[in-house]
Amino acid sequence: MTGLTRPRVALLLSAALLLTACGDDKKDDSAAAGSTKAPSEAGQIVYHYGTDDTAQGPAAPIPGAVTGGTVRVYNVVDFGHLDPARIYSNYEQAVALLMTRTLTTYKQSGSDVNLVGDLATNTGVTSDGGKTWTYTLRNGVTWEDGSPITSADVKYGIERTFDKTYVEGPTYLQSWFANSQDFRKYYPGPYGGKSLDAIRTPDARTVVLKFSKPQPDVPFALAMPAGAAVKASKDTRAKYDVDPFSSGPYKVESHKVDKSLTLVRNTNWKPESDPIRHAYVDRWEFAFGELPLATNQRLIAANGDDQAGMTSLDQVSPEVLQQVVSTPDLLSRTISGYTPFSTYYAINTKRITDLRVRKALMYAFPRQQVRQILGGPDTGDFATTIGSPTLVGHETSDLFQVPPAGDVEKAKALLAEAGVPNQKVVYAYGNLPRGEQVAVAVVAGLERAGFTVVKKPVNAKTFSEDVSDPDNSYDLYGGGWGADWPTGATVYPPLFDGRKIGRGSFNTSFLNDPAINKEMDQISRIQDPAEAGKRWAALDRKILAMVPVIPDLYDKNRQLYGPKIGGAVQDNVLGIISLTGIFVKQ
Amino acid sequence: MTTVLLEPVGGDPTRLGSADLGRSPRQIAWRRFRRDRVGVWSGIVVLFFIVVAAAAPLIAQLYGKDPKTTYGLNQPGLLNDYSFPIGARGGMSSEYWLGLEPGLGRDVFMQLVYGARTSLLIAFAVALITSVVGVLFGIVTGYLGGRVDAVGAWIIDVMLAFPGLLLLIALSVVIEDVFVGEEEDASTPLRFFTVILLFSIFGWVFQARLIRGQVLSLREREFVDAARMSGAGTWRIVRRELLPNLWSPILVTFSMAVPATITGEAALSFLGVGIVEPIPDWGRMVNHGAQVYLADPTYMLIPGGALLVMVLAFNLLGDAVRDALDSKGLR
Repeated sequence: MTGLTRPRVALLLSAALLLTACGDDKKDDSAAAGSTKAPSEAGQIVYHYGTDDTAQGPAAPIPGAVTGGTVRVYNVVDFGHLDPARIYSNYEQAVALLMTRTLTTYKQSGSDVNLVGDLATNTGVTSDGGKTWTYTLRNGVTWEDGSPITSADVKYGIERTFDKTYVEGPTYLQSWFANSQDFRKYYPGPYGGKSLDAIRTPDARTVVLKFSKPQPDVPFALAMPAGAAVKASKDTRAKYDVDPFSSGPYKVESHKVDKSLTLVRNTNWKPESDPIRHAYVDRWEFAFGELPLATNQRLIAANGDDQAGMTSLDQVSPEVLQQVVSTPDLLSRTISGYTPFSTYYAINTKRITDLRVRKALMYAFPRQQVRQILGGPDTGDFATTIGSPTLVGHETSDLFQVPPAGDVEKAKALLAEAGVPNQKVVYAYGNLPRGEQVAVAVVAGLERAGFTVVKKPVNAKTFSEDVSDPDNSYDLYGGGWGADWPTGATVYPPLFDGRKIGRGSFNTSFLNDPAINKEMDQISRIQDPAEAGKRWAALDRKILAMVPVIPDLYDKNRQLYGPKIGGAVQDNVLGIISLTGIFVKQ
Repeated sequence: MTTVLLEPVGGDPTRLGSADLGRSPRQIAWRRFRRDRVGVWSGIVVLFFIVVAAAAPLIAQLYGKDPKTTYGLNQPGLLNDYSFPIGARGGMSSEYWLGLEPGLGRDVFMQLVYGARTSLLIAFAVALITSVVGVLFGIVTGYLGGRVDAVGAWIIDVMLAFPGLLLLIALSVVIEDVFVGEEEDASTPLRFFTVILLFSIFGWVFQARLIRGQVLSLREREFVDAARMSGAGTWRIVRRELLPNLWSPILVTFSMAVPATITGEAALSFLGVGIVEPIPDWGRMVNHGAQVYLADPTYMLIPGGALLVMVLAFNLLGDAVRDALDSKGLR
């Protein structure tokens, strides 16, 4: 949905969870610089990921933080979903942290990010190498009506994600339980009265998840909203998506879809039961629909109530970026950093079947010109791989050595070799002003190499669905992906597994190579994260050699907030501003 | 053209000076216009814009640039990291006379010259179409009267009740959807056609209403009665008796329709519909300029200033033409 602030519409569809299964896995810049080519000019900030099974509530207070006040949040679009079974994108996950508690979650302090127990006392205990996972619920975890959250609620919450009406969320847990992508056949969800036997609740505080194969990533999958508890008697089904029953520090007071959302304190939430949420703010008032530039100008001016204003979605617009970065007062009011996302331009391999033409597209593509329009180096670093450097086992490589501004001569030569010097290319983009500007640069860039380019504006709201249609009539379109947790298993299969192709899927290049599919299955079963990481990195090169996508940028985030907002940091797991520690300065 | 001194074409006989005696109404109007300094100057400005727009390709050749190339993106050193022109006043230099466009780095002078083409082409086409349609409709309803006039007046009322700008925005998308194939670009002529068509659909009523009113009063005049009694047919009466008396309101509404369309079209592209990239357009330039005015005020002032001068010149010229023709009905 960040498509409205940047041109790559489909982009932030996935959640971005950066944890690693291996707690000591520490990447650093020197290692990166030692290989073929450093990925970035500026150098990535290195975060340390691990698990912490000792985390207890309440969360350690933030220095200087005060309780009270109202925060106004301006976002260009409403949250698509608040129902934990349907949430996937990072900005929905960020707001869900205020209302919905999951079995596990991430705790961030400085550059340390740890997986901790949220509803559960720890990140999970397994006795048989990952086939059985046992969770014990914390004391004092309650729903907004004061009733305790029980193991039955957790079970019901996971069962719901199987229902056929909830298709938007991640499907990791479901397919692990079912051992197949076709998990609805295995279990159709709780609405028919059936119960999922693989989840057992020996007592009100214990949940046991049983899988037929070892699944070492279960603690990470449970940190996604799909691992949230839902109380069966309060399951309002479709309405749950706009007004979920709260287990976190805030509950919905009113929600006018696409217009406004007001969150107020859930007085039954107990800070002692919660290791990560601070809940300093009394009231959150979200307003939706204002264009990012207008929101940014509003936050720059910071008049009246906007002093305690912010945005949980919009980036700093390129039009005001220079002003923000060069004004110390404004710069101090931003958060910034790398995100787990990398962006790319997908080539429709069903239509552009000649590898030489795809290569020519890659060499001709004006990445530097496009990045310049989006805000220059602040937008991100040029990517040379599909996966982001935040992945475990990421190896820097630059298979094609494409200069950022493109190599027109090489592209021309490739087109001549393929015998189509004036190859027609249909470039599809979201029909917003920024998309229009980028399209001008893309057309100019590709035409340099001889391509005949057709610009095709597509409704920005349906863009991601339209380009995922295997019968679409476009050749080239932007996209982006962030890992759900930092292993290749949450990046390559969603993007390149040919068996997933279909409207709504993320395999928009329609690559369907049996060898690649098979190899992804194999790597997914590898238990050792380091070994798997190595194999994913090799697969990255293998896929890129077929040029189904043109790697674009390793994404950076920069967001502005009002002068009275305190405690603003980037959630390095989601790559977006964190809401859990925000307070209003007096 | 005829010189029919006896017919009260346009002018007010009491205002005829001694120098006007023995001159045709056109000569009189021309003399009046020439005495109007503001009118003459605005006429010169308008002429200048028309010449610039018509000679755009020639200017581009002499200047050595074109409106499409993204110079700033292609050549390092012209735009900074945030895509704003590096040089002073929006990057003005001997190479790029009016600087570079922030973001895409195209030449502002070329954008302006070709943008004038866009504006004027649309404005004149719309003014011409609305005038022809409006005059025909006005004469038919006004002269025939009775039921025809009742229906005509009703149609005019209905058209006036339409929220024009809203429909323009909605319809421009629809038209493109209908005419543009799956794998085709919306061609430049189609985009112009769409905008011209939409403005014409809503623009002709104003002319029609005015002309109808004029015709309603003219057809009761003695000279029309005289023509009718001497056996002239409807066509002859319209052509020889009515039309000569309608030229001044037609000219004046035409000269007013041009600037109105220019601003309307600019507003439409300001809102993101109408003429889109990569066809240069002043309205879109102003829109973009308004977004970056803090970092690069020059980029907003140039198209904004040009638009202001052009519309003002057309309006003043329209005023001058009206004064010169001194048509009572329009005062």
